[in-house]
Amino acid sequence: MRIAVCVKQVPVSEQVKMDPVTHSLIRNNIEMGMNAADCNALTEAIRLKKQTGCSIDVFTMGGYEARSVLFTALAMGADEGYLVTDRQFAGGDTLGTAKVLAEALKHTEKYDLILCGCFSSDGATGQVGPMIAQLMEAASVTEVKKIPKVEEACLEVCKTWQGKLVHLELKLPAVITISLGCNTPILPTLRNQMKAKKRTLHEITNDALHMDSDAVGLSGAKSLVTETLWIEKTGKHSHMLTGTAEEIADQILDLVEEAKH
Amino acid sequence: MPHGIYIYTEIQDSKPAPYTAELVSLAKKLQINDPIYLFGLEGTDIFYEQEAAVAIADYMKKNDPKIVIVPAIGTAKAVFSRAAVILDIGMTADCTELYVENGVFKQKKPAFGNEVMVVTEEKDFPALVTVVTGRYKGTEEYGIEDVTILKPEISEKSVQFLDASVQQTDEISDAEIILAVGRGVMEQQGYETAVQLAQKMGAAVGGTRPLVDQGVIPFEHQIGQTGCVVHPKCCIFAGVSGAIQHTEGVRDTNLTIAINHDPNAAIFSFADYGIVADVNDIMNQLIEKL
Repeated sequence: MRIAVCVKQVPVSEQVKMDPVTHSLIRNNIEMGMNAADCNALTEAIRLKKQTGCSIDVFTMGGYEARSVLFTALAMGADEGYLVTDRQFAGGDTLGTAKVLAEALKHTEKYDLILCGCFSSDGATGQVGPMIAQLMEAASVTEVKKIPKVEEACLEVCKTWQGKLVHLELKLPAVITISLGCNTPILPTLRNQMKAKKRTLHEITNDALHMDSDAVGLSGAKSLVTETLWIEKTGKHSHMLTGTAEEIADQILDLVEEAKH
Repeated sequence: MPHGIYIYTEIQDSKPAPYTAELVSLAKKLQINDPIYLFGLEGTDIFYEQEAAVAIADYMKKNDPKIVIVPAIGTAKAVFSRAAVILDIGMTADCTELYVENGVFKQKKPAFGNEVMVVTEEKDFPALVTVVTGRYKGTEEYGIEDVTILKPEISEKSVQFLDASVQQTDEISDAEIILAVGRGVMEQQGYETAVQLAQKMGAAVGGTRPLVDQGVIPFEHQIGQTGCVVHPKCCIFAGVSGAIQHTEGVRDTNLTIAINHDPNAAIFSFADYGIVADVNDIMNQLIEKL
């Protein structure tokens, strides 16, 4: 079985700034790392690798700086890293991103299973995974919590839905998105990180994919950000409660009691 | 000419989902003269993402809507992401406000967590947007007869529904009182105290993303932009800094009280009442009194 995992480099810090002119993320001097749900997806893939001996290729789309998430992925236990990079791909919306990733996947290998995180911590749309599935004409299950069974041609997956645990059987090839926090992500050892950094990454540009530049990147974007609004500071300030801890506790309980009725 | 506002809903136990009325009232507030239609999927059909997307795309092609409003819930996002590919249209996610300006349909949504809201619009028709639900309470009731139910053609069965077992999840979306814990509580080893206090108050424990990322609280209990939106009568923020992605989830709460040791914490420009104090001191005092 051949598995591909798509990962995204996201800001780790909460102090993110946007460029007010281009409405895109200012990436300078921000600590970046692998998106949390993607760490869960890769961890799940590595668990499957231990179980079945499959191979894992990891893909990310971005500039040269996005190589660092691929090195992290290799240190965690992935086999090969693919950087999908081209100026023409930059500035795209979710559909443009999915088109490029799907094309890069098809270009590289016939994968049986593609895993993605269920959403990114910065964009949080959750769209790219199912969009890739549609572009690959593969079945999909989103927000998977567990993969209890793996067979040659099918998987059993679990997801939660309206307080229930739903079991689904899924025929391969398929795309699944993995829920944030469904496993404990593998922490690569320092030694593996050093080793990974010496590895050569594969690079896929539009010279290989031949995508219509009007369909991807900024010029292909169909969902547009037209304005950035800084959150209006309302000037509101909380009514401050003061006194000893005991006096404050009394005031809180009175307020809560009143609010209940 | 694209025409009409189409609202997606999911039918369970022969009833449209509770967010239906909310989405209809958002559509009505746009005050454009287009008629509003409800359409949706029923029961376990939502798990057949591939086939359901085809059914939805076919329905869109046939009806040529101007606007399609979809609740920002997992099952719907998956199916519509696939339908957007079939129709080759954009899809704007997690909008918190819909409006029309100079005849152009626009949306507002929080972006990159902290400081900004962005305005978005779509290049093509239909304008496909997902909306964070649970922010307003719709008043009208809708029945199954108001909804055009689409039937996906499930032939090859690439996905097979096996079963659904009831799982004990203590949902926080219906809680009357929520104790929202943030990083400040973790830094002072106060999580156990918070859980104890919540039990005594009859409150549900919610939390902000750093706690979910650390695996302290389950994702279902995350409050905020990417977590759930809650409508408690009262929400107490313990050690929550007040970044917009957390406070977004509790905007319509009647009473908000914040406890933080930092007098400059952003939460004090959001909460109704504020206390500058050690979070543990106050929580312990409350436990003693209850």
